[in-house]
Order: sequence, then structure tokens, then C-alpha cells
Amino acid sequence: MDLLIQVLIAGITIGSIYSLIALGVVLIFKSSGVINFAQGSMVMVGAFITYALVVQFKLPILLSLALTFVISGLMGMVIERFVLRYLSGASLISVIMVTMGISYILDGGALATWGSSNFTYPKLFPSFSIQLGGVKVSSVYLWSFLTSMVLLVVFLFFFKYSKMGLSMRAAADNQKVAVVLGISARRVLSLTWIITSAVATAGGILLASISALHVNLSYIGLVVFPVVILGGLDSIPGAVVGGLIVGALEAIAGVYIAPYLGGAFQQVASFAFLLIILLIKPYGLFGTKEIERL
Amino acid sequence: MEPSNRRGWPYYLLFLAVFILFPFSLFQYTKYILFLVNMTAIGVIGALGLNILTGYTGLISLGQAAFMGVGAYTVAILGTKVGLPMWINLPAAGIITTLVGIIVGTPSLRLKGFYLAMSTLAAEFLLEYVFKNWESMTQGVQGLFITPPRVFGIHINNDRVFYFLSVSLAVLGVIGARNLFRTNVGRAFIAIRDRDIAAELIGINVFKYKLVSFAISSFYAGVAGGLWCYYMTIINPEAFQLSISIDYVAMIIVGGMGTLFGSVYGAIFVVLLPEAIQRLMEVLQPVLHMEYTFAAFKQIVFGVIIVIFLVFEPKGLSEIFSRLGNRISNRKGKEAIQDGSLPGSRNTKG
Amino acid sequence: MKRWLGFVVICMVALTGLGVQAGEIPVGIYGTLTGTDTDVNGMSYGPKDCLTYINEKAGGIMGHKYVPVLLDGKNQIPEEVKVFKRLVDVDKVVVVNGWSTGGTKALRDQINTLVKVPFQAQSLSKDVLDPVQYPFIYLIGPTYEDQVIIAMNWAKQKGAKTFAFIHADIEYGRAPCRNAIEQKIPEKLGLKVLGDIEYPGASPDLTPQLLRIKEMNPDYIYIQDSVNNCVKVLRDAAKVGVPASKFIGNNYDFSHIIPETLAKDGEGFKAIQINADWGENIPMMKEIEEYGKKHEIAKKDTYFMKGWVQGKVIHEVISRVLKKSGGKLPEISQFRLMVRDEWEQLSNFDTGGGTPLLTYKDHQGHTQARILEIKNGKYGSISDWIKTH
Repeated sequence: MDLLIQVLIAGITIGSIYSLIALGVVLIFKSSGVINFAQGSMVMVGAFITYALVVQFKLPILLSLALTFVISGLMGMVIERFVLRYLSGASLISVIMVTMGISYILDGGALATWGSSNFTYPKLFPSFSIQLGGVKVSSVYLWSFLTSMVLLVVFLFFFKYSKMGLSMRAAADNQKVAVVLGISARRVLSLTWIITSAVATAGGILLASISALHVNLSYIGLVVFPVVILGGLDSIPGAVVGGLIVGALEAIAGVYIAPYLGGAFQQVASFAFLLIILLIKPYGLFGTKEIERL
Repeated sequence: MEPSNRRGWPYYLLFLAVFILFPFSLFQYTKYILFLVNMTAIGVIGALGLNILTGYTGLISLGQAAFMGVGAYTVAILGTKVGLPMWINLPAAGIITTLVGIIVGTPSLRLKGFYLAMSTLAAEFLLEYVFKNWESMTQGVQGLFITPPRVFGIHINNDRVFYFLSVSLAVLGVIGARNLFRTNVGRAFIAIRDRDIAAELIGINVFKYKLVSFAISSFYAGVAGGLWCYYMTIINPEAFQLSISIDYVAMIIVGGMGTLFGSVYGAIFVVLLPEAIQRLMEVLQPVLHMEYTFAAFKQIVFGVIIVIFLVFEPKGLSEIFSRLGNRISNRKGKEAIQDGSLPGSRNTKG
Repeated sequence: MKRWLGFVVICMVALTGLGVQAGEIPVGIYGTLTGTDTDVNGMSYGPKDCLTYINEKAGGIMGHKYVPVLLDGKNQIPEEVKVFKRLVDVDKVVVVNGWSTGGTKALRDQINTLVKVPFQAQSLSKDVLDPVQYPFIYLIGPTYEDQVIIAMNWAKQKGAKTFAFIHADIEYGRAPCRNAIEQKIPEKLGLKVLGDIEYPGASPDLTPQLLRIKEMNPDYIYIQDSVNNCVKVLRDAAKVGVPASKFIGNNYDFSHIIPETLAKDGEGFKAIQINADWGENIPMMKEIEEYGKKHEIAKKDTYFMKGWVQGKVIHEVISRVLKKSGGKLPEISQFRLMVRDEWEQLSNFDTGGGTPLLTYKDHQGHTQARILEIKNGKYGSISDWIKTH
């Protein structure tokens, strides 16, 4: 029993990071119907930019954080303005591939700028840890959990009640009608990408604080797809809950199932789970079912 | 392709001559070029398969590499453990991969678009996991070695011999696909891609044809994988990762989805691009002194190319080439009009 | 059809890149420049820099300049195979300096039978060390299996009774552990192996595996992986409360990155050293410093030193061949055979302090290692140089 609790705690702590990153993917989908395969790369680049500002340019931490959010926001805007805008209404595979292309560019750019080594991430938060059921939970995980929850609440209210949020949902639902109603689809799209970049950066900083900083961090962009599907592509609470569940699941698979199935089952566990969800409930726990109209 | 080719046959003869004689040339880089052509031929077969599935039937698949892996392992296992000869193994690779493809394709009945893509992504990871861990069959991460079979006394993985095999199979693949799309089956695929609910309404059994599409596409992938195994003589799970699947999707996008020659152009492009960049970077070597910038540059260029194609020419290279072709033939047409030999003058005088 | 042909021809023509001029000695090096395991890739830059240094200092060897070609194998077997083919067929290198265990194993036939090119591996796996079966493959130090024995011996001396392995799901990780268990080495020493735990090499979080270790509670745990993943293992071990002092790593875990990243979570961690560290007071270090004045050195660590030693070995062997041939460059396949023969006869070669004296009769440069431990953020030795056999 003791072990199980430890496993669950370990899983939920990493799961909170998954939630954060999944949130970014859901945001983009909710506002534009685009599925962002470049989220992982944006996470990684955000972490690197902070690193560069704090360690290489030696700027004070708060200033660096602020600057990073500005830069990544700009990056998001550039992606939207120069690439995604031309693909509105394009086929799904084009959109998927274009975000993959962007992810290659970001990965390659990070590789060229910083190289392929592991970097020690600067301590951005007051570092302490608490003991929870025999697992030492460091402050990073607490921050990550907190950030996910805060963002969850913020975005829930944003999309339900604020004018901009409603405009975004309208634009995602039916762009033409939204334009007729006076919603600037372009502005909405730009804003969405800026917000998502910022969320990705936050996820990146937290992720790099937990593990080391390396260009491989972008791999997490793939791992969050089971999360997004479990939670529902367009559901923000789904992303958060899904992240925690998938994190716990991976931990359980890694500890209990791997000895029997051998190898590193942990990695595949979430995708096996993904397959099961797809067959039973493809729209996830909280997603809206798509109704196709001819 | 122009319908009347009667005046084209000298070109075909020339092409055939180059095709047959080139491998025997004494040019210094022949071996390397043969290597590239062989890789491209394998890519063409795989890309054709993917194009049938995604370009013509509209079913997004991110698992092409895993299917190739199934084909490759089939060939290796049948060759080493059971000792069957090549002319059984290669088709067997296709057939076994077809079976796997049908299984993987079954969720496609209920899933569409993104969700289908995700199920193929899951299949990709799960198959890779099987390759790594079903050690009794696949020897896990160590990989399988095969002794390449001999044809007329020469090992099959000799660049020259393999060239004839792979290019012939690639050509057969193109012809096969072309004929496929002249039949009802092929047209059903296209109908499903364009409007599957409407297709169902007019009596096409969408379920059945989706599975057939997966089957045919996997057959191509399996054969491509089998060829890969014979050429590399060593296969291990790393050769069939997600990045390879994405390479194949890039091939059909850059080449042109839903067009036969799109698969060919795309395969050539994706195989040759990294080599071209490598050579270019070696020329620029004195300027850049860190080697990892090669890999980074390759990645960036690859990504930029994908993005540029999708933004500016989503129909790919085949569209670009056919437009160029049209312009050339239009010019001939225009000259004919001005001569007065064709009606439709564009005389703006008066 | 015509357009397709034209396109292909243009591509073919475009690919006639630069060839190697006469009077040059091409040496092929491939390593993990990108991908996993990049923290130890100093040992791929090492040979390249060493040969460049020799070019500059001595004008090459007898007037012939070295052309080191460094390519990226990405730590993936298919990529390494491709790169190997390119180096051997196109660049026509005399020697290949390879990298991964899996890749070296995969290329065994090519290296020893089909192509016959001398191959210096970064891998230290026993599976590629066999002077009779693989006459062209040379290793530089004690094998991973030897290192496991050293670690286990040391643990036994400290009164340990139980042992465990942890590694990634690749050949480099699996093979040595498997070999050690199959040959019943723990049994012979009286140690019980509680488990052999695998993790996905690219995963950011290894807590589940460390929780399993915690459950098992072995006395010591051997990490058969390099710096990148070692950091993750130790970090997550600290998270669940398994102290770093219970871990022993192989020679690829001796890096300043570990104490830097982990601070007090890395205290007590032990690793194995098989060659000199950066900055030691040895003649070889002076060479490197001289080189470093005009060039930027990519990785200033013990692995660069290892690479530099490898470069010196290559240079020494090639010089002996050229002295015998009177300064003339032999034809390439002949050249490779001569290099191989000369290599096998290399004995008691002094690398200027980089390693103990190297003798390649058994295709293994030297068989000495010692154990280091992190105390107060620095590595210090806790054993003498041990000869493994």
C-alpha cells in the first residue's frame, strides 16, 4: 500500500506538468481547430530562452521571466501570422504537417543555438521540498500543480464569461459567421497563439527545473496527446484531469506492469491507454462529440 | 502524360539504356549514387503505399515506419529462422504486413481525421515496443542480421544487383497503383476521401474499402521494409521510429498527395535533400566550426521546406512540374495560334 | 517521364561533391553529435582535434595531411550504418573511429569481412572484442563487463550482499548487464542480483523505476548508462529517498555535470575512471592547451581526453605504416590492412599521461581502471588503479 501511494504521488506530480502542456494544445484547438504538434518544441524553446537570459545574459530573474514571456508570445504571433494564417481551412493533414514542420524548425534552431548537451537549469523558485507519503516532493512539482490549477480556473472563466473568450470559441466554431458578427478572426487567432506560447513557456520552465535542460525536452509534445484525447480535445478541465491521470498511469505501469512485460513499458503505456480510449470513448472524458453535417 | 507517345519512343529507349548501363559506369561516385538510388527506390514504394492510404483515401497514418518494420522483420525472421528463400520472403513480408495493416485499420471504422491519426501513432509506438521486446523473435534492440541471399552468385545487397531489383519493383509499384486507380476500387478510395458519408449513401461499402486501402498500403510498406532489410542486412527497432513515419508523410506532401508521381518526386526529394545539405555544409565547413550545426541545419531546412510547400504549394512538386509542363506546351500552342494554324486568335488590334 | 529522368540526372550531377585529393590521409570519425548521449561526445571531437593539431604542428605525417571527417551517427544504428558506408565508400577513410555498441555490433561483418577497415570503437562491450573473430576492431580500455566486475569486487569488499542493475533499453545498456548475469559473475563473488531494471532512454522522468529499486533495496546499484541518463537516475533516486552513495556508474559517468547539476543529491556517487581527466598535470594536457590557444575546444572534459588519446593512437599507427612504406601512401585497401597489422603490434605506447601504457595485442589498449567518488562536489579516487585481468 505504501508503495502504491508513493507511485501515485510520483505520477501525479509529473502529471501536473503534462496538464500544463496539454492545456496549451487544447487552447489552440478550442480557438482555431488546429492541432498543434509543435507544442513540445515551444515548451523546449521557452525553457531555453529563459535559460539564456538568466545564465548567459545574466539578467535578474523576474526581468528574464517577463522578457521570456514577451519573446515567446512574439514567437507565437509569428507562427500564426506567417504560417497558420495561410492554412485556415486547409486539410487536417496539412495542418498537422505544418505544425510538425514548425517543430522541426524550432528544434533545429535550438540545437544550432545551444547545442546538444544537458544544461543545469538555474534555480528560479525558492527551493524546498515536503515529504508526502515517503516521496520527497520538491517545490517545483508544487509550483507546477499550482500553476496548472490557477490556469485552469483562469481559462475556464475566460472562455465562459469574458468577451474575448467567447469570441474565440465562436471563431473556432464557425469562422465565417463569427466574422459577420464582428469578431476579428485574425486578432483572435493571434491572441490564442500568444497565450499558448506563454503557457508552453511556463511548462518548459517547470519541466526543465525538474529534469535537466536539453533539446530532447520537445519529445513531451508527443506524450501529451494521450492526455489531450483522454480529457477531450476541447476541454480545459479535461486537459488538467487527463494530465494527472496519465501521469499516474505511467507511474503505475512503470512500477507494476513493466516487470512482467519487460523493457520500458512506461513509455508505451500511455499510448496503449490512448488506443483503449480511442476505441471506447474517442472524444474523451469531457470533450464534445463532433457531429458531422453534410 | 501525353496520350500519344508514338513519337516518344526514342526517349524511352534512351532512358532504358541509361538505366541498364549506369551501374556499370566507371564514374568515381557510382557506388554512392547507386546507394542513393536504392534508398530512393525503397522510399518510392513506401511513399506509394502511404499515398494510397492518405493521399487517395484520406486516412491519415503516422505509422508507415512501423509497417515497414513488420515487413523487414518478417523477411529477417523467415530468412534466418526458417531459412526460406527471397522470392518467398518478400511477398510474405507484404502479406504479413497486410494482415497487420488490416488489424491496425480496424479502428478507422469509428475514428476519423485526428483520432485516426492518433490511433496510427499509438500503433507506431506499440509496434516499436514489440520489436524491442519480443526478443525470442526479433532479438530485441540487438537487431537481426541476415546473410543476404545470392542472385546469380552475387549477394543481393551488392549495390548494383540491388539497384536492378529495387528499381524494377518501384516501377512495378507505380504501374500497379496506376492501374488500381483505374478500377472501381481506386475510385471508391477517392470517393471516401472526398465525401465518405455521400459515398456510403450511393452504395459504396465504406468499411470494406477503408480496410482494403489499409491492406494495399501496408502491402507496399511491407515490401519496402523487406527490401530495406535485404539492403541493410541489419535491422533493429531504431530504424522504424516515428521520425521515419513523418519522413514518409513529408514525402507525399512535398511530392503531391493523391498523385502517383507525387510519391516518386517526394521520395527523391526527401532522400536526396539531407545528402545535398551535407555536401553543401562540407563546402561551408571552414565557416562553421561546430559539427552539430550540420544536423541542426538539416532539421531546420527540412522543416522550412515542409512549411513552404504547405503554405505556397500544398499540391506539391507534381503540381509544380505539371504546371511547368503546361507552360511549355502552352507556349507551343500559342505559337501555333499566332501562325494561324489554330483558331482562337488573341488579336487585340482594332 | 522525361521530366523525371531530367530531374534525376540533375540531382546526380549536383551530388558530385568534393573528393579527397592525393597526398591526404582521410580518417573517419562518427559520434553522437545530436541525440541522446551527447554529454560524452567530447570523445568524438578529440580525435578530430588531435589530428588537426598534428597537421598544424608537424605538417601532418611525412608531408601528408590528415583529413579527419567527423559525422553524426545520432546514436542510432541505421544512421551509423549509413555514415559508415559513406566514410568507407565515398571518403575512402583509412581508419574509422566509431561509437555505439549496437552500431559496432551491427557493422561487425562489414568491418571485418566485407570492407576490412581498422575500427576503433568508443564502445567497450565485450561482444565486439575478439582478436580472432573481429581482427579489425580495437578497444581502448577495460570493457563494460570488466568494469562491472571491478564495481562488484569493490562492493563485496564493503560488505555488500545484494546488487542491482539499472540501464536504458538499448544494446549499450542491456548487453553488459546481461553478460555479467549470464556468466554468473555475481554468484562467483557471492553477491545476489536482485534485479535488472530498464527504462526508456528518452524519458524525462524515471521515478517509477527508482521506486522499484527502493522496494528491492539492494546494497549497491550499477548504472550502465552515460551522464545524460545518470543525472536523471540520481535525481529521481533523491526524490524517492535512495541515496546517491548506493550507485556506481561506468566510465561514462565521470563528468563534472553530475555534481554541478545535482549538488548534494550527487554526493557519494561513484564512477569508474579509465583515462585522465581534463586539466591533469600531464604532458598530453600541455598539447591540448597549446591547441586550445588557437581553437575552440568543444568539450573540456575527460571524454575529450579519451578522444585525444585515440587520435594519438591513430597517428602513431599510421606513422609507423608510412615509415615502413618510405613515405608513400599505399593504395587504400592495402593501406587499411597495413594499419591493422601495425596496430596489433603496438605495445607500451606512451600517450603522454592520458592513459596507462597501451598495448594492443589483445585489441584492448589497457585494462586498468579506478573508482572515484564525489565528495564535496568533486571527484576523488577511492581506490588504486586496478588491473582487471
